[in-house]
Amino acid sequence: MTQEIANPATHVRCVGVAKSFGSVQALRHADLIVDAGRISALVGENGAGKSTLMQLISGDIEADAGTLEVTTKVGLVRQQLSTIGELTLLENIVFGAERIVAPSGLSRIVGGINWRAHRLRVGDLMERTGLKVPLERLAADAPVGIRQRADILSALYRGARCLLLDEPTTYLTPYEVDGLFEVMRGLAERGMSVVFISHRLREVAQHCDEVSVLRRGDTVLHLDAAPFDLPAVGRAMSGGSSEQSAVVERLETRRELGDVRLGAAGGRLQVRAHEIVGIAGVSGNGQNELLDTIAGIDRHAEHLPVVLDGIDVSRVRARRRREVGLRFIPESIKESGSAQDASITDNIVTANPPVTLRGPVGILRRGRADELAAHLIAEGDIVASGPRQRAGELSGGNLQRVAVARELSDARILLAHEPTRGVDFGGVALIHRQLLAFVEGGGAVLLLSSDLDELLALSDRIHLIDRGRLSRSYDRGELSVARLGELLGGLELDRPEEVAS
Amino acid sequence: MTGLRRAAALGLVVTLGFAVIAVLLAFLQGIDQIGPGFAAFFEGIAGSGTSIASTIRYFTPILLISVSASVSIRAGLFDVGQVGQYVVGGLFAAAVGSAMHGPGIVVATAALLCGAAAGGGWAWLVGRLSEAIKVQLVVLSLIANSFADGLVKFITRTLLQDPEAFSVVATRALPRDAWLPVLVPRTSLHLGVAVAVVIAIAVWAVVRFTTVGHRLTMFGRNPRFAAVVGVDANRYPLRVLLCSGAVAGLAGAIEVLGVYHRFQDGTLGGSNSIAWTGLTAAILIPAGLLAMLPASLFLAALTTGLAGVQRDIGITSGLGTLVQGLLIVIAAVALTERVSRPKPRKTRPPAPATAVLEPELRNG
Repeated sequence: MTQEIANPATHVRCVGVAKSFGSVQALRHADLIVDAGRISALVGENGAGKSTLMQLISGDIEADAGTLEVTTKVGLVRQQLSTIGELTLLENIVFGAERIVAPSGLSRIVGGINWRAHRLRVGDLMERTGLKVPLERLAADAPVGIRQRADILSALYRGARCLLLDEPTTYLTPYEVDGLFEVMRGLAERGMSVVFISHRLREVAQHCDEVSVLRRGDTVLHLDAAPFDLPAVGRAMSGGSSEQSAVVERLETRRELGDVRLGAAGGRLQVRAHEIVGIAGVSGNGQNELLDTIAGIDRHAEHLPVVLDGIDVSRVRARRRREVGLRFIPESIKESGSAQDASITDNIVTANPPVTLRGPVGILRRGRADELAAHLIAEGDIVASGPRQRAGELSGGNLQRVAVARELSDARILLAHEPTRGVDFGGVALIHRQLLAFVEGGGAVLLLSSDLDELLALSDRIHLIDRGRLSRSYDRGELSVARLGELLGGLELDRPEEVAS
Repeated sequence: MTGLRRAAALGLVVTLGFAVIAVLLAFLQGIDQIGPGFAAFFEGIAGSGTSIASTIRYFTPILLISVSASVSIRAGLFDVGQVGQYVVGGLFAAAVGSAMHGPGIVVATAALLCGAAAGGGWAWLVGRLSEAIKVQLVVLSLIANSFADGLVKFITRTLLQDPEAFSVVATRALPRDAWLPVLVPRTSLHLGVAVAVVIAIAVWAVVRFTTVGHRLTMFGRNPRFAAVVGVDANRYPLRVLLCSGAVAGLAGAIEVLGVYHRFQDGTLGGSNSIAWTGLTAAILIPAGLLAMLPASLFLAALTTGLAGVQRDIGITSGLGTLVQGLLIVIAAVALTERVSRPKPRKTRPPAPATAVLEPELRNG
């Protein structure tokens, strides 16, 4: 463990690192070398061990075996942002590093914090790095992209020279992603190193200097010069079978104008049968409110006229809306799409289960519910020990599939918010196929996704959402990922106050 | 731990608690008093027909209150307002029972139903207020208990006071044919215990086997999830409070119709209220409903046993309460599920990223 590092500019050197948690072997033989001045990509499917490796490097956990040398201060920016909503961004950045600046005068005696000096230093750091955030704003009021910058600033403020970014682009628009990488490039040019974790090969190809692929705890591929052989990277991630190309081509055969209609926001949003309508936007622009309103969950929401299947349900509660056939896959399955302590069966039985699950006097037929769950597990390709397994024991991707399976069974109109979040390639393809089969059979889908590729691949039409307002709908032919990114970027530019300090 | 196993553990703790009583008796009354003390303890629980009846008479409200509290706990609502619901239920039952004329069975049924409705209404009101003024239910329902006590005293004295009862604040007595029938003559064992057991089993069956119960359990586990799958999250908690409050109100009505035959200030509410014991059972065994049967029996036995010791050996009544509290604390410690080993760190935080391959890759 005390080997000399050959290259003095090497910040991190992992060779053959292994780590297990109980019976789960998270890492078997992971190699990763991070040199100063470079942006390295670490890619892999869900559960490949990327996050574990990051935690090892940042010192959160210790390796079981292998060589791990870290020669500089490492800053880990987690996927789940760690900003505290009730604090301002400045307070968030300084939090835990208050003693970087010695307090002066009276505040030294009472253990105070020298906010003036901190503000100056953070301001200086923002100036040097080009990462600008409005310091006095409450984190809860700042968009995700800004909060993420605050997290990065926080790592830098502690003197990190090597930044580990765990899936930093998940919540960002392409415009924001470009901005992020511009900053990262600037940091690299100043002799820092950046490790970028992602699923998205496009971003890796565009912005990174080298790429390492993890598959089930092993480093299976390392390419250290662009341009990368992306198909090879994709094969390495998925284990060789290039069959797992995730985007299912849109099925074009489609009847016109079924009888399922859904109107919201003054009738401007309409989803017809056999149609997937996408909504693109930076998270936090009213997506949740829109869906809660349509689903009838939020009592305090303004009464938007919502027509489902020709029935005005504006004043009807969630349960009745479900009876019409409305189904809802919420954004965070863990928080609002599942009961972690309950079995898969319990998670599949909804508040008003179908008649097949009901016996006399309101009895719930648990045997049949188990059968249904087993059926959905098989059909949704869910990795589970059985219908009675606790939902909390499932991986994020499998939990997502449980929610998708539940909501798709006997649905007519589906509200899908990030339906493939956390699901790996094979699973994404399956869910896409399920959605397409659903609309093929006469269903209607309102799809909200931060993944523009997914939106474009699946949607017939796409609306943009910004500060609670919907744009006109764009036909699929009008849009490309680049164009969509520009549109979203344009929306961002309309809001200079978000960026200016 | 399952509910029944927890109940067994509770029983064990109660047994262990005898040691505590022994030590206290030896300390306060002399070693020679230990034997008679325990004799008095068991005499108090089941030494005679009268004492058995007395144990069962306590068992009835404890069971109903514990079932009531279990239902709200199961829905994730920490309502500790059972004492208030119990008192209000008792008062309404007495008011209706003493004012109504008619066949005894009609009066009794009406009084019981009104008591249940009043208890439910009280719980609903407190829950609604807690939502409106955004004060946590546990805090507000606790405060509401004292408020209910004062309110029923006020109502009794101003509106329902029995003119012939000079020294106590009490309503007029209910007509004799509206009293709950006594099951064993010359004891206080009345029909209420059968009602309580039937309700406890019925509630358990509903929660365990029906879609209504599934909804309740899911709401308790994750209200946001329940809302997504169709539970009206805005109104559901109040409905649960209405139902659980009705059970507590019924307990009060049964006490009035079966034991006191009138509402008298200080018999149902206050800090010595038996309703607290019922709430204790529900909190000690949060997952259990059927387990409330043995647990309530244990706690009732503890109550009458200690009363027996008080009576026969002459320890002060405060000491009996102290011993009971001590035993419950021991039970709580014994029943608390401890995290025996640190959970392994989550290695794979759910990755929200989606995976869509590049067009190049698809083609290539």
